[in-house]
Amino acid sequence: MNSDDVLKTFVVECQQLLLEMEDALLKIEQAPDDPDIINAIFRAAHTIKGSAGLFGLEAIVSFTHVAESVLDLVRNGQLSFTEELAALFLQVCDHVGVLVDHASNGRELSEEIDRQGNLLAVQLRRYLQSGTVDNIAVETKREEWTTKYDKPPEDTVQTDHWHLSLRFGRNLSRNGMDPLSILRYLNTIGQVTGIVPITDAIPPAAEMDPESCYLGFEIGFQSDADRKTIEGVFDFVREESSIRVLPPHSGIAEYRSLLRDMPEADEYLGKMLVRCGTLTPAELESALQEPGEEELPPASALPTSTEKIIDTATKKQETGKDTKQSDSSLIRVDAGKLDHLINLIGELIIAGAGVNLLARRAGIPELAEATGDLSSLVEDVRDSALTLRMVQIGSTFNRFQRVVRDVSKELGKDIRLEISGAETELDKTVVEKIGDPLTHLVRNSMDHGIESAEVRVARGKPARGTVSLNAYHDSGSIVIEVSDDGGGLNKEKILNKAIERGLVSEGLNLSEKEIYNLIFEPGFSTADQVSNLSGRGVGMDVVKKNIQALRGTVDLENNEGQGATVRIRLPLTLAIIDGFLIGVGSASYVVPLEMVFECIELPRNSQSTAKERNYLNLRGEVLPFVRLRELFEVDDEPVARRQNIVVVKYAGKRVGLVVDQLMGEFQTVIKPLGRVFSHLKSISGFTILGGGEVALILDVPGIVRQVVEAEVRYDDAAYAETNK
Amino acid sequence: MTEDRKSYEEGLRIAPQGEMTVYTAMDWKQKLMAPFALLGEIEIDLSAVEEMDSTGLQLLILVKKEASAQGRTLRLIHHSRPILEALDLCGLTDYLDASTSNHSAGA
Repeated sequence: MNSDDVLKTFVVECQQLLLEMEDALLKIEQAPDDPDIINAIFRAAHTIKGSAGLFGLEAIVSFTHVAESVLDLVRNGQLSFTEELAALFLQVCDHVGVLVDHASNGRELSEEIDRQGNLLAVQLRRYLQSGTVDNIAVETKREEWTTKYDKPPEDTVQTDHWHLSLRFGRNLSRNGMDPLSILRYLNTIGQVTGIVPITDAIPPAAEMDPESCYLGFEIGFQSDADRKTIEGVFDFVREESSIRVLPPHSGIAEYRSLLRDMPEADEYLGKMLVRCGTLTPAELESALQEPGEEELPPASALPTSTEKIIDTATKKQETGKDTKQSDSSLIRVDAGKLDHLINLIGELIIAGAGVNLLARRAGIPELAEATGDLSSLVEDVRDSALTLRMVQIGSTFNRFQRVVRDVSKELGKDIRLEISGAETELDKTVVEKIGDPLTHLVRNSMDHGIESAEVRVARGKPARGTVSLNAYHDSGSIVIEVSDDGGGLNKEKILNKAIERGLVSEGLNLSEKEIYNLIFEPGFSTADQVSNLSGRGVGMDVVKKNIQALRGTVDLENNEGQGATVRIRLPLTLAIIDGFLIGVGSASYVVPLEMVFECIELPRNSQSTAKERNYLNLRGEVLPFVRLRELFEVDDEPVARRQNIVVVKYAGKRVGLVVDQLMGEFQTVIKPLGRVFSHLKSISGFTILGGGEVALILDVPGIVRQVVEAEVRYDDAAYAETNK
Repeated sequence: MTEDRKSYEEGLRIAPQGEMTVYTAMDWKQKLMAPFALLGEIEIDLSAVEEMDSTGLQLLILVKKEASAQGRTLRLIHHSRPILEALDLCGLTDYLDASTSNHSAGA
C-alpha cells in the first residue's frame, strides 16, 4: 500500500469527519445536553487526532488534543455547550480543516495560520479550569487503586509508570507505517521516561533488507491516559508486531513472562528493563528466578491479569460496535472505475441493439425471444449502473445551514433556511459543480432579497426571513429552486441600471421576462453598496455560465414585494437514455423519450411549406412546430406520404417536430460530439444504431429555445409593423 | 540523490544528501555499504540529510554494526537536525555518536 494513497484516504476521512462535526455543532445549540450530539463531536475530534498521530502530523495532533480535552469536560457534564463555546468550536473545526488541507499538500504552515491556531488554543484552554482533566483523571485512578487493594501488593514493581515492550513487524515500513511516528504520538499523550532500542534483529549486511523493519523498543512511559488510549496508539500495527503494554505496578510475574516471551536473552533484556527505569535491579533478580514455591498465580497478579482480560473484552466489544457503525452499508468506490463500468454498459447496449436487429431479420422466434430477454436484462443493468452515480442533493443542501447561519450573523439579519426535496437524486459530477452557483444565489437572496427586520415588519411580514432550497424531478430534468420571501426584484431599478450601464438603450420595449433576465448580464448589479458578499456584478452571469456548462437552464420568477425564485434546470442522466427514433429524409434522429409528449399526424392543410407561421390548434391550444426538414435542410426524397409531428415538452413549453417517419422507442448511448461539432445548435450528441448507422440526437431544449425566441422576434416585428 | 566519490581516499567518505527514508532505502544501503569494500577509516557526513525515517535509522545502525563486526573505524559526523531529533526520540543518540560536540549546529 502506497503511503500516498493512505494519506489521501486520511484526508478524505478527515474532511468527512469535519463535516459531521460541523453538522453536530450546528445542532448542539438547539439541544445542548443531547449526549448523542456531544458524542458525535467528541468522536470526530478524537478520530482525527488519532489518525493524524499515525502520520506524524504534530500540528494537528496537538491542536485537536486541546479541543478534545475540552470536549471531554463536556462529556463528563462539567461543561456545557453555550452559544459561545459552539461558535468557538466551529472556528476550531475550520482551523483543523486548514491544517488537514496543508498536510495533504505537504505545505508548510504560514505564520498567520500558526497564530490563528494559538489564539484558538488559548481560548480553548480557558475552559479547562484549574485542576485540569489530566489531574482529575490521575486522582480518580489513585482512588480506584487504593479502594481495590488496601496497599500496593508486595509483588508488584515500584515504578508508577507504564512499560511498553515493542517488537515491530518486518513489513511495517512497507505498509507505510513508521515507528518514529508512533513514538512521537506517544509523547503527546504522556512522557517517555526511558527508552531502550532493541536492534538485535538487524541481520548482517548481506541479508539485511533495507525496506524491512527490524526495530524494537523497551519504553518506560509516564502517562495519565487510560490503558485503552495507550493501547490504541498501536492499533494499526498490532497485527504484525508484538506489542505488550504493562500498566504501573504490574506484578513481577508479568515481567517474568515478558522476559520469557521476548526473543532476546532474559538477562540481557532484563538489563534493558532496568536501563529504562522500569525495574530496579532487585526486581529484575526476582523476575529472573523461577516461580519456585510461589503460589501460582500470585494473588497480586490476579487483579492485573483479570483486569487485562476484561479490558481486552470490552475493547473488542467497542471496536466491534465502532466498525459496525462505520461499515453500515456503504462502500467507497473509485469514480474512475464507475465511469469505466458505465462505458462498458454503453457498449453492451449498442452490441445488444445489433443482436436484436439480426434476430428480427433472421425471423427465428426463439432467438427473438432470447434477445428480448437479453435486452431487458441489459436495460436493468443500465438503470442500476446509472443509479450508482446518483447521490442525494440533501448533503449539498445541508451545507447551506452553515452558510445561512454565518451570513445572517454577518448581515445582522434574522434568516432561516428551509430545505425540501433533499432526497432528490442527481449525478455525482453535477452535485459537485452545482455548489458554487447555489452558494452565490443563496448569498444574493440573503443580501439583496431579504429586507432588514424593520422593513419587513413595516411591510407586514414576519421579522425572520426565509430562504428556501427545493429540488424535484420533472420530465427528465432535475429542478433546483432557490427562493426567498424578500422584496423580490424591482423592474424599474433593473431597467434603469441596465440603461445606465449601457446594456440596453432607452425606449426599447422589453418584456418583463427580458428585464429580469438582464441580471444575468456580465457587469450587472443593482446593489447600492458592494458588500464583500455580492454586489460586484460578477455573480449572476457566472452562475448562468456554470449552469449552461452543465447543459442546464436558469430562470427567474419574480413576485415584487413578496420574493423571488431562481429556478435551475439540469439534465438528469448523461450517458444512456431511452430514445425515440425518427426519420427525416434518409437520416435518422433520436429524441430523448422522456421529452416526448405525444405523436400526431400532421393535418393535410398544413403540409404545404409555403406557410409562414407554423402553428397548429391542438385540442384548443396553440402548438408551434418546427419542420425538421427545413431545420436540417434535407432536400432528398420528395415528401409524398403523410408527415407526423412529435410533440416534445421542455420546461413547461411544448413544441411539435415535423418528421417523415416514426420508428419507435429504442435505448441508446449518447456519444459526445467532437469539439469540431460542439457548437452545432439543435444537436447534442450522436449514437450508433443496431445496423451501424449514425443517428444524431436532437437537443430538444435548444430547439424549444430557438422556437420561443423566434416567436418573440416575430411578435416584436409584427408589433412594430402594425404600429408604424 | 548525490554523493561525493572521487578518488580512493574519497571513496571512504560519504556525505548523503536529501531523504533517507523507505522510498530510497534500497539505494542508500548500497551506497552506505560501498566503503566497506575499501580499506581505511570510513567517514559519513550527515549534515545534508533532510529527512530520516526508521529505515534510514536502521541503515545507520547497520553500518555501525558492520564496522564493529569487522573491527573497522567508522565516524558518523555532523548529524543534521532531523537526524538528531530522530535519534533522541529512539534513544540512539549515544550509539550513533550524536552526543554533544559532534553534530552541526542547526542544519
